[in-house]
Amino acid sequence: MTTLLSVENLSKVFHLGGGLFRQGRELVALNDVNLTVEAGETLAIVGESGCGKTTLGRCIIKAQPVSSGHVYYHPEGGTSVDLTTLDKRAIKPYRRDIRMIFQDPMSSLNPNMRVFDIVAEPLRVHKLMRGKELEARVYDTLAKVGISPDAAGRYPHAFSGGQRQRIGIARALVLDPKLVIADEAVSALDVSIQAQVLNLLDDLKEEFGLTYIFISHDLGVVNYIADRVVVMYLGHVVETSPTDLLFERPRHPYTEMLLEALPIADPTRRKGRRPELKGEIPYLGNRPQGCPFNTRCKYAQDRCRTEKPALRAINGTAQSAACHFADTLDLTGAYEAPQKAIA
Amino acid sequence: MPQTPMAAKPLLTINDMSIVFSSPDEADIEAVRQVDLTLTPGKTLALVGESGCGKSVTARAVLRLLDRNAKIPSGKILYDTGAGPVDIARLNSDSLAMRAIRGAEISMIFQEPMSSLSPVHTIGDQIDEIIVLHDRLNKKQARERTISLLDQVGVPGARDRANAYPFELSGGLRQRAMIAMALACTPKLLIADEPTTALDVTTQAQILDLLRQLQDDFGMAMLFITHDLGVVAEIADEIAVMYLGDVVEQGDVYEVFRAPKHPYTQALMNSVPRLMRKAERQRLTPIKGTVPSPKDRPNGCAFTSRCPHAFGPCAEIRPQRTMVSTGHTARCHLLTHEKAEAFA
Repeated sequence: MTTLLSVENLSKVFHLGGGLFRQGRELVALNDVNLTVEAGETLAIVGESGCGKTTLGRCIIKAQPVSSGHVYYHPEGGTSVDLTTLDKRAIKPYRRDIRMIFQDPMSSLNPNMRVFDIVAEPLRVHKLMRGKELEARVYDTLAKVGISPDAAGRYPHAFSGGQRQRIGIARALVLDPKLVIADEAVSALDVSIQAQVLNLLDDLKEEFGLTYIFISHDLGVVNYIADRVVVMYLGHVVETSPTDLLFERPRHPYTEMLLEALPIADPTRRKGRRPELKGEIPYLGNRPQGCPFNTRCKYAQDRCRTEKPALRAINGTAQSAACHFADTLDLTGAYEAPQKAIA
Repeated sequence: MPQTPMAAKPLLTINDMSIVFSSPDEADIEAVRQVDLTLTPGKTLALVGESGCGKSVTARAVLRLLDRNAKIPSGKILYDTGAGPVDIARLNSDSLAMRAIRGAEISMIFQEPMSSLSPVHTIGDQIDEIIVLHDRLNKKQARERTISLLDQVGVPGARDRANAYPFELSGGLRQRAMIAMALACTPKLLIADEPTTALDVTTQAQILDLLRQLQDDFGMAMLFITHDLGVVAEIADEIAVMYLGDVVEQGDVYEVFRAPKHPYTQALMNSVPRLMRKAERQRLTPIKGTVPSPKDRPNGCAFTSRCPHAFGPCAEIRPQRTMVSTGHTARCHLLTHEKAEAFA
C-alpha cells in the first residue's frame, strides 16, 4: 500500500478573547498529531465532542490554517507536497483531489441554488467543463448517488435529509477526487437512511477507487465502515489501530472506556451499571498535566500525572497507543460476550 | 381489545389514541393514527421510531403540551391517580386538574437541555419554582430540597452549582439538572424524550445508569423515547415500535429483539450496524425508499409502500393487533393470513 497523505506534528491553537492590551487565552485544539492515510483505505477518526476530530479534518484541506506541523499529500505518480505551505491559489488544484462531505445536510447546501448548480459549481470554479459536457457530468454524478436527473432543477428544501446528503456526496464526487473527508456524514440521518448512505459510500469507494477519512463519534458505524481507526482525546491521538484489533483488544484506557459506553442493540448483552465510567471531558483550555486522560483513567499512576506519554507502536502488533502502560494493560474489547449478562 | 397480562396495576393506559393537527391552508394531518400503550410502576417502556413517526407528539399528548392546533379526537389516556382513573385526553390542558398532574405526578426530560432550561435563571431557581408551586414549601426549604436533588443526580458541589446558570454547565451536567428538575416532586411517571441523544457516548452511559438507579430508588414508571436501538436494548423492559403514527409492534424487550414479527421492526434491526469482525461483516440491508408524509399514508398498514412482503390486503385494510406470544403483539396481515406461511 502506498501512503496518500501524512500528517506530521500537526498542532492547531485557537486564540480566544484578548484585545489590544489584554492577553487572551490559548486553546490547543490539536496537539502534535501524527497519522498517515494509505491509498484505498477507510481511516476513521473517532472521539467525543471537542476532541479535535473536525478541526483535524478542516486543517488537512487547509479550510483552517494550522499553527505548526505539516500535511504531506502524495499524489499517485506525482511529487509530494506540503499542503500547509501553499497559498490560496497554489492549493486550489489539490482541493480537486481532496473533497469534504459535511454533517448537516440541512445547512451545508445553499438554499438559493438549484441542485444542478450545487453539483455543477465545483466544475465551474475549477473551470473544468462547460456546456453539454458539464451537463452530462452533473447528471451522471447525480444518477450515481441515486438522485433522478428530473429532480436537478429543484431546490434543496424539496428533498429529505437522506437525499440532501446524497446531493452533498455528489458535489464532493463530481471532481473525481482521490480522498474524501466525511465529517459525521451519517450522524444526522435516521437509521434506515443511514444504512442507505453507508452502502452508497461503500459502492462509490469501489467504483471510483476512493480513500476515505471518516470522522465520526459512532463506534458502531466505524466498526462497519473503517479499515483503521484513530482515537482522539482532547486534541491528542491516543490510539491508532486496525479496526478488528481495536475492538478485540484496545490498547488505550480511553478506547476501552468508549467501547464500554457503547450501547449494543441486543438486550442479552446488556451491560448493567458501569461505575468505572466516570468524569467528563475536561475543558480544552484546562488540560490536565501529564497524560490528558489521567483525570478519568482508572489505571492512572503517579507517573501519568506528571509525564505525558508519546504515541508509540506496541510490539508485535499494528497498534500504537499513547499510554505508559500500553504493553502491560489487558484491556477489554467489545467483540466478546460480556461476563455479566442479566437474564 | 386484547389486554396484555401485567403483574402490577398499570399506571397509565393509552387506548386507541389519535392526534390531529389542523392548519388554515391545508387539510388536517393525522400525525398519530392509533396508539395503545400501557405503563407500569417501576418499568421502562421504550418508544422507538424514526423522525416524524409521532413518538414525541405521543409523549407530549400525555402531558397535554401539544400545540394549539392539535387535537386528540379519539381515544383515552387513562391515568391512575390512586383515587380512580382520570382521562387526560378529556382534561382541559390548562385546567387545575391537569396542572396538578403535570410536573408533579408526570414529568418530562427533554432532548436538548440548553434550549429547555431558562437561560436567565439559575438552575437552583428553576428547580425551586416547581417545588414551591406544587408542594407549597417556602423558598428556603425548597432550596434545601433542590440541593439534595442535585446531589442525588450526581452534580458535584451541588450547593454552589445551584447558583449556576445553564450556560456555565457542561452538556452532561445540564442534563443532570434537567433530571433533578423532573424528579423534584417525585413523579410517578417520568417521560424522557431522547434524553441522551445530544450527549457524548460516555456521558450517555452515565445518564442511562443514573436513570436506572433513580428508577430503582423511586419506583417510577418511565416512558423512554429514542431512535437508538442500542439505548433501547440497554435500558428498556418493554419496547413499542412506531411507524408513521401507528404502533406496529410491542412487547418484552428480550422477546422483540429475539424474534421481531413486524416487517418494519425486522428491517429497522437489520439496518443498524452490528459490531462484527471484518471477516463476518455483512452488507447492511437498508429499508427501501423513505417515510411517506402522513398525508400519503395508505388506509391500511402504514408500512405498505416500503414493505418487502406487502400483498393483497395491506394497502386497504388495517391489520388487527395480533398476539404472537405472551405480551408480544404486532399489527401485520402476515400474522393472520394464510399467505403468511410463505414469508415466515
